[in-house]
Amino acid sequence: MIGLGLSPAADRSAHALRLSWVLMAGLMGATVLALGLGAASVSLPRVLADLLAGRGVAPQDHLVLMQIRLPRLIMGGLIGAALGVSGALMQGLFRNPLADPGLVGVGAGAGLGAVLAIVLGASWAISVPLAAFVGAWGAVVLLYRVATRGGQTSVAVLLLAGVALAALAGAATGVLVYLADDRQLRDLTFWSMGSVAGASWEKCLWAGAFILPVLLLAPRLGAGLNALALGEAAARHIGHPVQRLKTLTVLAVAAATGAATAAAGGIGFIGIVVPHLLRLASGPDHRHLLPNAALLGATLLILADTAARLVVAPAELPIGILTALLGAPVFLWILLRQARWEA
Amino acid sequence: MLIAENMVVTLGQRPVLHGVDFTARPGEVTAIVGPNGSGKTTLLRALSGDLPFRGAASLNGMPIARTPVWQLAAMRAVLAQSTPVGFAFTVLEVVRLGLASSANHEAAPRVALAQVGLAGYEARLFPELSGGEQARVHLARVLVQLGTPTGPDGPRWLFLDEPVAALDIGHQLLVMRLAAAFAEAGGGVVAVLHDLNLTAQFAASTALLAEGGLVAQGPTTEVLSDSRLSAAYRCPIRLNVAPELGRWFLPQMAGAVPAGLPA
Repeated sequence: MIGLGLSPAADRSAHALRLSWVLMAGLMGATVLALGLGAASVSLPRVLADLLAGRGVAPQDHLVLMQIRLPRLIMGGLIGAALGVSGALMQGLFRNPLADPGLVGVGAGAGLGAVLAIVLGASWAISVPLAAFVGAWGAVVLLYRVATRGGQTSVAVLLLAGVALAALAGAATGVLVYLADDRQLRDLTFWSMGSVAGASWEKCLWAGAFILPVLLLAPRLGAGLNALALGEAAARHIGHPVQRLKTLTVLAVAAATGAATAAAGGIGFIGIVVPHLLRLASGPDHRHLLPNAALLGATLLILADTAARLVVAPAELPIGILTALLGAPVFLWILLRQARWEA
Repeated sequence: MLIAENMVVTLGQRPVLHGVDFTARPGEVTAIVGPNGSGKTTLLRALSGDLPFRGAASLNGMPIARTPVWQLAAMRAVLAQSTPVGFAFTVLEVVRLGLASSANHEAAPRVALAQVGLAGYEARLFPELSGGEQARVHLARVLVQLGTPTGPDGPRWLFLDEPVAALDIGHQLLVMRLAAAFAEAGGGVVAVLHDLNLTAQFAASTALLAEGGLVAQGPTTEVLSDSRLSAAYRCPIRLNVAPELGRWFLPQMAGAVPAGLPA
């Protein structure tokens, strides 16, 4: 990372824009890696040569790329972008870099919604992400009510309320799992391990229907979230319609977290690590942070998924394990830094 | 003009302001003074559009309660007692938050920082500044929000809640002189102040509040009288005119000096 929090330039916009280009290049690189590496050997140069020569791609290459790796790549990219952006949005809404949807119970709320939909017998179509979206939305609204007083957020209350919320949602989820039949249990188990292994074009479509609008909307919330960093009253004084900003942000967090959770279960820490690294590199300006969080989130998740496929090939690691290994230490590091600042 | 009539504000079940009349004219500094808990900040917050109130309040002829936030933001800027910033923005980035669009007025934030004595602080991180420096960064931000003291649709207004509370005496004078210059150039300034000396020196008009009601409003020299201040602050206060300073009063504790202090 460039300029790791040391003597920042007064205006870091140009720097953040340059970073966007670097991140885009990184995403391209991750895409090539994810398509080219895996249990079955597919040679990308050979595929390219086939395409350029107009020969048509070998049937096995076509099958592996189009039915397995490409949907999985797109799913991973969508979910990584959703997790990165929903983390940055949530942190902007609560004015705190520790507010990650996964940590404060929003993911658990989404999970409860998804499990409810599965146990009630919904097939994986619109109903599971929709139920997860409703669960996530309820969790964010509840958290905001509990943790924010007079336009200022108490971090201690936020994190503790998140613990309580996650426990509550976990208990309710447990009841549902207890009620589930054998086939549902199998679905639930695979889902809860956190994986993009089951990616299909249909799932990509539904996840994208929730996530793409959020990715398009989020940068437009950037200026408002910057103002909100001064608190609700000051943001209003500057001329921002705070209520509308909060409503849109909550809906966006819920849609992105809900769709990501429904599609891939619990994948933790992307939402906290990605925005934090970006703030260190180019400052907290949400107009740049939000698009960059989508790019870096997508890249990291695609790389983590590629690693998860390769490390113990032909078996696979649940991707949630990898992201937790990376993310939990970073979370502790942020906590320590913040504690030192407040001291 | 800023005109408020019969303002009533209730927080929870508790009435905090009961029927306060208040006016401020552009071209001068209007001070709101009174003891702790007398409703000064509540009055300023209601006038800023932050609190629901009964009664009538208008700014430049626009009803405050029914004017959209962006339109209010073009007419008045508000400096709160303290404004914590959620992330590690640089000083320049914080000041720029006051700009409606960052496309134009490139120079304004730097000019405002120089005005509040923070030239060269642009790249510093806001959370690493001292409390007094942070307060002046926010003052630069509200100055940038208004741009000029008057606009095509009338005077612009600075609402300042204890703008000098965190500042040393030199910077207190700097900030009050900035406010006075803003008023002299045609803008309006409403400032909640604790310092009666600064009030006497800089405010042409003063409103004295006590227990949620208005004791008096008018020219500062008339409102700040021994008897009114002593009654409002519940302690004996005597005004000494310092002839060499012109319109300057020195409120002093009269009566016994507390035991243990040198007389």
